[in-house]
Amino acid sequence: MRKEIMVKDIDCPNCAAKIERRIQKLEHVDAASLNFIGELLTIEAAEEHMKAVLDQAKEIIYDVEPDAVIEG
Amino acid sequence: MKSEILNAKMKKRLKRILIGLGLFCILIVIGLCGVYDLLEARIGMRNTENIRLILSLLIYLAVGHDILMKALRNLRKGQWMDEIFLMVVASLGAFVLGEYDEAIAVVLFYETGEFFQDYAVKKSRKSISELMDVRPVSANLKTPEGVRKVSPDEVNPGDILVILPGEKIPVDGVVVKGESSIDKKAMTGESVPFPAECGDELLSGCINLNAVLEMKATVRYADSTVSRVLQLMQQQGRNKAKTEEFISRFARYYTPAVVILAVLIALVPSLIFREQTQTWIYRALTFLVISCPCALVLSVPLGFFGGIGGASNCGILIKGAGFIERLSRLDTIVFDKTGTLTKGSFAVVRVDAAGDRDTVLRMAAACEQFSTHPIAVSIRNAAEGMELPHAEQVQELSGLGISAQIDEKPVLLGNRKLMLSHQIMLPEVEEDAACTMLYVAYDGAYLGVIFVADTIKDNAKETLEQLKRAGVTNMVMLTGDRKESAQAVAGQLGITQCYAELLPQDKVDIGKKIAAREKTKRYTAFVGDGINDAPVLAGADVGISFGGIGSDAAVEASDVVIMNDDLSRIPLAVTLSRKTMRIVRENITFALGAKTAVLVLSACGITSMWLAVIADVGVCMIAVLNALRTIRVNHRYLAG
Repeated sequence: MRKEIMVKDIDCPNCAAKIERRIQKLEHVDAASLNFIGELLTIEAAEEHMKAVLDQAKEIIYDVEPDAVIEG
Repeated sequence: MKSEILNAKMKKRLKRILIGLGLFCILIVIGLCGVYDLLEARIGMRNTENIRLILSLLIYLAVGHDILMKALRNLRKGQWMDEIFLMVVASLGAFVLGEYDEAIAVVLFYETGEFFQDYAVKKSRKSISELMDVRPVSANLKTPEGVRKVSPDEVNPGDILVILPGEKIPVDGVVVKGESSIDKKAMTGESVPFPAECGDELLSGCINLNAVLEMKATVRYADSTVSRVLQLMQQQGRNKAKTEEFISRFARYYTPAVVILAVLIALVPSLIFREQTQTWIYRALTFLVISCPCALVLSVPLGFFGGIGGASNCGILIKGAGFIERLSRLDTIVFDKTGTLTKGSFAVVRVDAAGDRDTVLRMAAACEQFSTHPIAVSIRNAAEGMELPHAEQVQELSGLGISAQIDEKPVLLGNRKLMLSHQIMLPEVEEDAACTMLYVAYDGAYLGVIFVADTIKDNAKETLEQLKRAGVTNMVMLTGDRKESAQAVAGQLGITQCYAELLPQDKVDIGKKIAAREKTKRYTAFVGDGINDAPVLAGADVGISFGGIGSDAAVEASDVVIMNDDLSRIPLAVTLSRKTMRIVRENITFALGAKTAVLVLSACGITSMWLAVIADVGVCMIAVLNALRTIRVNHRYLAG
């Protein structure tokens, strides 16, 4: 399944790329992309793993960019 | 306007930059006026150098404490290969070398650059979200107790809504009272307002311009055009362009590469060639200053984002940056015939009459009065406004046509076979493969023949020529229609490749065959709007469909949606994509070129840290401003 969440206030596109790469490497993630300008994070993962994946993704975001605001 | 873009964080940053800049200027002026010398000479003060250091450090901390904290934080996490950390190393290094001004300049300009980037991104986000702001906030529901404000979700079909001037139409519906003009720009890119009066259909998301309208809702909000468009917009940005991926890969290696170079520059000349260590360390620090790849990493996606926004403004919805890239390298376009190149409805194109032309149409229309067949409708449309005779004993003769009585004399309407079976003498009429021919005979005598055809869209030929001029040289037409009529349409439009009498499955196969060429860097687009086109649309490099007439399945499966169904938006989409790609490429070349130049100059010791940081911020600003050009669409394109 695919899940999209808004991630606001990421500082620079480089940080976004870092976040994206780390989320892509997570277990159970089939595909992930973070559109810096659109402020949209798209994650594809199996439904049963989605919740865990999202939690890990949020951790990564706050780790790279403590000021980020995650919506949805 | 400005204050809306600048949030608290940015305002703080701006204040810090301005204060820092002011203090920095004062510091330089103090130095230039020889205040230190004065202090030494007059008061006999020693160590004025230390005063200068303390003042500089204070300004440095005032401007750069944020960067310092961030660098420390990253260092603790082990991310030392980070442009912020490197910037801090460079500036602290400058302090150690005694270059206080340079140290301040590095953080000051770095902050300025960051602020500017932030501003540019926020601004473009805002201007694009304004362009795409079609979501209606509320609806004025007319009830027996008066007008009540409700959410668009609460509107039911059949409800009467009041639309005030300046308000968005909340759901699709029909005007029941009032007269006004409608601005469809946000939905279709049409810049000319449309008049709306009683009975006219209203598209949700459009803006009522000058007078109060009352409308009847025909569908729920969820089924309205505007929700469909909003759903489509959310799909944008999933697909990244190859160029974007390349740049983010490049950025990964750029910073480490520059750092390695800096280390080499610092060590090799001084250790091996016994050159002056300080000079080379200074040059190495200059390297670190330009280690941030942000000009590239920001300007490329910003360019694509702007391109998508600019296209939306023209009623072209592009579902991702990758499709801009593909559209710009399009060389083959495959059209589904019906509804795409042709209007998808029949019309009388010609009448050859033995006597009076109108009599032929009147007789035919009278016979077709009650039929709902598309051909019958086309004949009735052609005879609109004429006074029709009364037809009796109307009989449909399957596979032949219609027979009837008008003024108690037999009238025949149908194909050649029908005429021959009634021994009607026919003149030599040139067959037209593209048309259905309907002969009309009255009282045993031939009156004339009506040519009915699915008409080609008015701007189809022009559009194809524009596409050819834009480099899309390969045109293919697919259709389920008869070969003859397909070839006639293809001939008129100058399409050389034409596949006719196809079943839906055949279309998919042929679409695959056309797209699966040798791996050149060229792409194929498929244009279609029917439900059966959805698999081909999904499989094509670029699937193009029409938002208004297209089936939901087609719109969902396609990558580019033309909101106002205007064929000529396809060459426009190609042109806009080319423009976007050109700007993106300009930025890549410019940013890379400038960075390389600064690196070389720094290695040779020609530039100073000052110049390097100014060049770096300057390159970034120019690249970002250039990227923002993609949002603007020249209205010359729209007029054409």
